[in-house]
Amino acid sequence: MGRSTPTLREYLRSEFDSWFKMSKVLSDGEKRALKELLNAAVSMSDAGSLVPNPVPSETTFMLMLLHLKTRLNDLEAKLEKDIRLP
Amino acid sequence: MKGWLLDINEEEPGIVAVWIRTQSGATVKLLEKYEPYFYIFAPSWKLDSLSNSITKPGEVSTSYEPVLTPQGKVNRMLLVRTKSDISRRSLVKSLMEQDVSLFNADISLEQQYLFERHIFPFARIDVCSSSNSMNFNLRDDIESLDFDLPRLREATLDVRTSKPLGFGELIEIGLSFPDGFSVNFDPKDPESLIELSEEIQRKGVDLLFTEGGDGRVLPSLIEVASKLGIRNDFTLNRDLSPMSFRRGGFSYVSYGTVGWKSKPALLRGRYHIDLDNFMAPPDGGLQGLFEFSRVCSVPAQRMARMGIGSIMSALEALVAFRRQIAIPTKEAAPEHFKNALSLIKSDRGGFVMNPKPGIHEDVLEVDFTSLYPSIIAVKNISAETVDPSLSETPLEVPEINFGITANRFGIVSDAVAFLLRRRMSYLSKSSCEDDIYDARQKAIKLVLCAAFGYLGFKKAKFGRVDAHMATTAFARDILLKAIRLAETKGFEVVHAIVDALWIKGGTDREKNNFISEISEAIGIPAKAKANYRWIAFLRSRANPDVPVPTRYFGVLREGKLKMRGIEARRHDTPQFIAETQIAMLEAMANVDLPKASMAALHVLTRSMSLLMKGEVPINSLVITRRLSKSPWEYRNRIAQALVAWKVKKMGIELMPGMELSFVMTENGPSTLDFINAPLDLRFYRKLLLRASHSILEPFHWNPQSIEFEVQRHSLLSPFLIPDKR
Repeated sequence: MGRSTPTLREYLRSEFDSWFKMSKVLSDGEKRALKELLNAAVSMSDAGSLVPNPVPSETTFMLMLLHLKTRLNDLEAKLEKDIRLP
Repeated sequence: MKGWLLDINEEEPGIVAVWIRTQSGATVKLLEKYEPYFYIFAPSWKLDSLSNSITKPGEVSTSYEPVLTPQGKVNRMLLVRTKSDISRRSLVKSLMEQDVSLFNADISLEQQYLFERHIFPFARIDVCSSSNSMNFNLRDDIESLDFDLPRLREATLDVRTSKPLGFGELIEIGLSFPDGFSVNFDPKDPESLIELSEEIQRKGVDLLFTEGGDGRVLPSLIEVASKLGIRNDFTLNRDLSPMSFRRGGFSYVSYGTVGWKSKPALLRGRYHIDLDNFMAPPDGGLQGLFEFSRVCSVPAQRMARMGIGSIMSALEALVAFRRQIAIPTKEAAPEHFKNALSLIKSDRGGFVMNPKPGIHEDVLEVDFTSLYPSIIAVKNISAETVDPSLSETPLEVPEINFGITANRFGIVSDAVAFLLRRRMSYLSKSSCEDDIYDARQKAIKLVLCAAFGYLGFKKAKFGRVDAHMATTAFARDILLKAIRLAETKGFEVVHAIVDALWIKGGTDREKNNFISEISEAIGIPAKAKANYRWIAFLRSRANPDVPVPTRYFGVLREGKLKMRGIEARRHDTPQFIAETQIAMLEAMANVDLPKASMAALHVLTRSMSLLMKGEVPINSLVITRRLSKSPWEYRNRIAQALVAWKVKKMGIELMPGMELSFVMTENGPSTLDFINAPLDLRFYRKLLLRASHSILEPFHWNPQSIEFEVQRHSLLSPFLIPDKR
């Protein structure tokens, strides 16, 4: 009924299983980082769904970058605040 | 003769029986000759050749007629009239294999008759009957909202069987009436069985309710009557004609769920309503059934077994017939060609803005009233009006740039607009919840909800995927505009999904102003659906870093609860678990937010104590699950498969879509009738802890801390002062 192309969220779910295969050779910290990136893409899939793309991995990477940049900005702001403190 | 049109059926080939309830309360059967028909469209030479080959004097007659198609063209078609419905169906079946288009070929005989006579079930009519023909004078209006119905006498037929799930031999039959009178019959005694049919006839029962009557009860009654040699004397038909039903049915998939539908066991002159097979919108109950039977011109007994999509299809067929448009037999409109990029752009659902997990206070849920149906009606969306190749039309679909033709009204949009108008009128007439107007509007609401999905259904006669895509494109555009406006006005949008958004911040007045502004800007009314004191959006259980759009619960300002996607809303949650979860939420609602989790835990520990002491009634622990495949197809030993295998050993054949009820015992899952071990309390304990975690998780409780609290309480409970509340 209706749709025949998967949603971005559905795509991410199916892709993540294959990306998780990398975990076999990753350290614990790297595994956590991988999981964080993948979860960030799912959490922001609503924004990604506004940009239908025949290559959905492009959208996925953009969402991951966006997440990282937001984290960086937050950390920068925190650092600036901490430095300003006596 | 004055009265109501009660029912209609094919009496014998070429003869239709029309059942009238007279003003004096009598039920009269009138007979009329009627020949069903259909149209064939093909190149002229082929039509001529078909006309020659299928015309049989006295059996099949043909003639040529100009006929309007849904696409707005007038085509020369061959009108074929057959003597009976059986000959029409066999002729249609043979023609389906040829390269021709058929119209009006799968409309039931009853619908065709009602359409052609311009009458409808429960209509007030005057009838003049002569030999083999009737004249109807309609004293009613299909658009009427204040129609009066004849008084219908109800009875319920219950049976007890030797095997679980209503299978096996009949042990006892009970007939009960709304006034409390009930009588039992012995299915092994022929006189008792005949007494049952006489009682139903004597009481003039119009509505006979059963549970599983289609698939089991009525076919079993016929089998028993045959064995006892009273096959011709035992009947539930009003005209005392012999009954003939067949067991069986089919499995189907609807919205990802496998269902089972038994073959209908229809009675003549009275309605058999199988509550297990009651497909009409349950919210509206019988009022919904009567409403749709009237407005779709489908006899109530058939309407009771129609799914929401079929109801929509029947209404669209009536709209097409009244506009003298031929009704396609197959889905008329395949999807317009698109390249991959435009398919990816257009084949999308409604917009979902992920919720911000956690607890939010003072949140307003704003909802567009019947958004999808309103879009279909207002934007004139139908299979024959939406066309991606049309450009520069007065109305263009946002983002995907499909055109919508402006020179004719769509059949789907016409049907949906009719239902929307009726619903709004009923809403304005309804003075309290659960009056007849409210019941009817609820039934219409359910059909309207399905109208959009049905547009994209491959078997929808007037559907087309492009129309489905156009509707979602308008809806996405509307929701994004609403989110943008809310943010411009200074609100925080904590969640938005398809046709609703949850906003936080601002005063009540500012929120009301926002609703007025958004309604005006969009052109579709928006309303405040729920005003939450607090609301909790949940995270994914498998992946706590990810929010889930459809799992939330909250407390409204007036103290009521609203919940979606949690255990209490799930069909397969045991009653005890669901009730405990609701009691926990109620306890949360009764205290200030900081004390909410402790109040819920207090309820949990009490329920856990009852469970572990074995004081919970077994019926409250029943789990109901649906078989998604045949028992032998299950590879994993999941609970419903284990029960299905056990039941199969008793000689009971279960089909995909059937429901199974069972409890979990220390020997595995078991049906209630055949428990041979103590209940598995550890299993139910786990379920209860899991349900509790769903609602305590936003308050930063994890499964371990909940378990610790429950254990601490059970150790301390002997020393605590009893709770006098």
